[in-house]
Amino acid sequence: MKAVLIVEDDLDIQVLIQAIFSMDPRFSVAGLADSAEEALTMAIEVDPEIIVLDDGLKGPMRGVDAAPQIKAVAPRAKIILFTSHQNTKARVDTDPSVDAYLLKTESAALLPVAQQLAHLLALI
Amino acid sequence: MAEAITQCLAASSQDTSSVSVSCSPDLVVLADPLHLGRIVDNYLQNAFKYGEPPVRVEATALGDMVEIRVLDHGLGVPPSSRTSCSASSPVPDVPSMRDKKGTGLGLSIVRGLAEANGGQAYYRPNVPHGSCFIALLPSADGPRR
Repeated sequence: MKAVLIVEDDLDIQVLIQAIFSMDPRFSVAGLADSAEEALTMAIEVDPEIIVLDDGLKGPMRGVDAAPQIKAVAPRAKIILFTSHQNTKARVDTDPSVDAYLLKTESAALLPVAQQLAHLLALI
Repeated sequence: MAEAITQCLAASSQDTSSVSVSCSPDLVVLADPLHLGRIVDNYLQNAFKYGEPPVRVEATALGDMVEIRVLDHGLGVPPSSRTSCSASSPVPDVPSMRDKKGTGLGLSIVRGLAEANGGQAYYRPNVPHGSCFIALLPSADGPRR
């Protein structure tokens, strides 16, 4: 079972992400956080393999800024930046801590991307 | 199903006192109650934000599925944004119908939640004018005639 940490401050999107991962029994949502600060704590507690990370979160820190710190405390986790902001793409392309980038309007691709990353984890 | 719709209306962030409901009392849908609530509420938010009253919620059996419709009498989705030659199109993503701070996520959420529950989300024009947003979810009762 691959543990998933969801970092998202919008309740509807949280529900959606949980619903998407419930479609594949190989994944289990192990934690929910709505701020980058809480995500750092949860990443240590949960030791997730997949992190779905929003960019605009509660609190002062953006998801894209928190990604390197989250990766440092949960090094095996694959981070999917799941955002509604297209302008973060260029920055993510040069950030090795983010493993995948997906717009929220493309939520149908979230599970396939996570499955692909989980497959990579199994190979490592 | 009727009870779930009533609960959705009561819990909605919108003033739903003018919303009319048509649903057979013995209709049962096979879906996560939280997801069903979010689907109906997002459609209602969309109808209040971009449509015009009267707003109506309907649910009917359709084979082994239940079709839940939220109808309004606004301008509807422009024909250019619909799939041509199709009576029912996937939920459209057009600027005039976007919510959640203009990101279009409300309708994406509905589509994702419907699919996660083994269903689909569709748009159909409300004749003579307005929008009809539809979620098709599995019936708990199996096929009906």
